[in-house]
Amino acid sequence: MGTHTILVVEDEDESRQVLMQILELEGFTVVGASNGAEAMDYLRTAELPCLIILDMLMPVMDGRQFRAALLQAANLAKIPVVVVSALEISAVADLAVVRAFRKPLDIDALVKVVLEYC
Amino acid sequence: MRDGEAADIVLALTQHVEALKKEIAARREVERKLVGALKARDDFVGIAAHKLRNPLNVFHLTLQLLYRMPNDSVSDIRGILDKLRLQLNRINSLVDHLLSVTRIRAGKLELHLETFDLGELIKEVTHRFAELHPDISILVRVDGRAAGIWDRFRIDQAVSNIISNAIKYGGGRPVSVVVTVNERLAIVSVRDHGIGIAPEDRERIFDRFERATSQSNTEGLGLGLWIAKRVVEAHGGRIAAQGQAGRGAVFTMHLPIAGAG
Repeated sequence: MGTHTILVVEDEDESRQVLMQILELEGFTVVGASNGAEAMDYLRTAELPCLIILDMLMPVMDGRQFRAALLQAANLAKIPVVVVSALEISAVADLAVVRAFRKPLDIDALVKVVLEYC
Repeated sequence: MRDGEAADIVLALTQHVEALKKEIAARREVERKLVGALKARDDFVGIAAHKLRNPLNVFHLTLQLLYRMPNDSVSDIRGILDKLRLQLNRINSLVDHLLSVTRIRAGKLELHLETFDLGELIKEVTHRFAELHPDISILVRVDGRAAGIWDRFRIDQAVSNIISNAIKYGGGRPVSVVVTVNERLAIVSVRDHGIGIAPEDRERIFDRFERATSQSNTEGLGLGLWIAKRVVEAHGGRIAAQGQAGRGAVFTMHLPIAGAG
């Protein structure tokens, strides 16, 4: 991967901003996108992140559509993705992500996963 | 048996079969509606749980942020506590809505009537929203003293739901709240300049779960307008929506000043 930047894709502003602040305090560089389409725009122009943290229920382009778009692009398909969602873990089992967490998020467990990839 | 008797029996049997067919069709229709109602309820429970998880998640994350902050960042703590308060308000509002829907459905919406000035209540409510949404201009105009006999908590809830709706769909543009009064009625109009309402949706938007089931990523449970309508009607009043798609909306509550009747 090109950078040590984490991309957080979450439509709810408060959730996204607080999660980004926590990850920054943990020493990571973090960028945010409020839906899958914004995240795709970012990925087209920026260096690829080391990890994507992805919410599922979002307007414009939801997590499932975004994951499908990633998998269709050869350079994006290999970016590890962690799902953080209110959905049951079983509901995202088919998305080929490295890990799925339910909200409320266990931040320590997430940081461990982030450290593996970034 | 005479031919005539046989024909009568055949006719009676045919009529009986037709009646049975109608009965079966009617029962199937009832069954279809019940299955639909059960599905709507299950969908709603799922959406309610999801909506509660979001503010709980922010609350949880914000606490984690507080734990992780360096000791010298005390000045930031007030801002973070404000965020926690906001999330608690959201959770509280969702739980209030869930409890209200249960009470209204069970016919237990008891009104605790008292005399108060609606204009003063409206000012309190709009002040609360202005604090929560400092980026949105909320204009208030109260023409005259609007004293009446109502349930303060429920009227607060109804007005809050209407204003919350105006902010939610107002596209960040100003929201105005006007209170007028005549001999019989206090009238509260809430106007936004957002996405508006198509004429065919003016009644439907007051239905329970209407928005919640169609747009799961929007704030709230889609119960706000339904609760507002029930509260206003319990006071003997009425509520209506006007506006056109893309041209903003006006919600008007007419409340008899003598209270529930």
